[in-house]
Amino acid sequence: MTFLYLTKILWLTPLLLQTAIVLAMLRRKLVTSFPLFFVYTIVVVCREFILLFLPKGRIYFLIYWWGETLAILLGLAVIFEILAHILPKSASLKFISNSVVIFAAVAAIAALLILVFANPSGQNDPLLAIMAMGERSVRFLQSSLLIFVIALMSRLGLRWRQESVGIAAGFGVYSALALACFELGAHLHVISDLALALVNSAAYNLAAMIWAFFILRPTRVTPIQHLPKADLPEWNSAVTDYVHQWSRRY
Amino acid sequence: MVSTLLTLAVALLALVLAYALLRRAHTGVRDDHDWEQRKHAIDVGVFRVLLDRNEEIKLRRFLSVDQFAVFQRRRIRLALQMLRLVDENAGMAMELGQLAKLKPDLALARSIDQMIATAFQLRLNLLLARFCLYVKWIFPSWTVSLPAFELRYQHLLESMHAASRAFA
Repeated sequence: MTFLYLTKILWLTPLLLQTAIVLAMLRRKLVTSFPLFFVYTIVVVCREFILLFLPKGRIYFLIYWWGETLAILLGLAVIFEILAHILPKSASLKFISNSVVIFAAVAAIAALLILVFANPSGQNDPLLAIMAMGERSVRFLQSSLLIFVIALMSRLGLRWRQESVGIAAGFGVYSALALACFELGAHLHVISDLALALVNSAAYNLAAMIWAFFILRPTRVTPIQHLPKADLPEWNSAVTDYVHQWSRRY
Repeated sequence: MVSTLLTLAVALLALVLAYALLRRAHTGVRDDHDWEQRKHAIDVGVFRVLLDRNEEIKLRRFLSVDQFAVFQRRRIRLALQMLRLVDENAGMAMELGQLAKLKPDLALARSIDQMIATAFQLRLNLLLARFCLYVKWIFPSWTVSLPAFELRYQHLLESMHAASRAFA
């Protein structure tokens, strides 16, 4: 009975939080800044609402898995959206977005290799086994990309005032915990399917709380009178000159 | 087994980084006044003199090998301290720029983007400069040059952009 209540709470909490996030994004005109995150939230909320009133069966199964696939793909796209949002629009930093694409390609190949060489043992249903392995591979790709993006955000000095920090941190926490769960549960069978489902659900609740905290809280724009004078170009030139002292062209 | 370890390592790293991002979330500069109080006054001229190659050659000529190593390490330590302060300044300037970006002003947004791009480039260069200085601290008399990997990478990217423009 307690377990039933727990699963219901874990199911309904993010549903309510994400509905509030959708409304807050509309009210604060954040849809134009994060259109993919908005679509992602809408897709997840709609899917959960439909599943809430649907009896378990073939249609339930189809909606669950197609919704999950769409949510995962949108989740991946949101990472690139965050990247485009946080990077300053400068031609000199084009190499960063190029590096991310290269890194994403490497991570995608690694994820594909995991999928190909993984042994989906322990599952009675081969289709379910393939889906679980596929989700694990995509979570691996998502976590790898988030590692890169979060490290970049730290270097960019992004703080709590930015919604992008919350979105990235939420996805980071969820994809990391989900990946660990899939590895320990669906692949190694160290934890039971029940524990896997609970931890996965709890991780998503945590992510939804982080998103809600960053999006629902009122923003206070601090008046900045002028840009700080920190002699950055002079320092950049001095540091670059020093680094170039070390290098010779081949 | 390898894939399991790799997967768990990726998950753990993503979790730690996300936690660190959230933990640091409440620190940082909040306004102009905060910046004026917390910024470090550092002279770029002093930094250039500390790492000037001609100065190094002069020192090498006038000091014994041991004395030179001691003196050179002291200079490098000072340069590293300056770089740490520059890094903090650049970080705070970026935070302030991000705050200023919250105001809907297109002209201001452009100059902020430019400032953030410079600060970001500086922080990337600082990583490289620190590495060079650590190597130099270990081997103070080292005069060997390293391959210009980052120049080659830059040239490769430029040629890729040129090729894509030509095709377009």
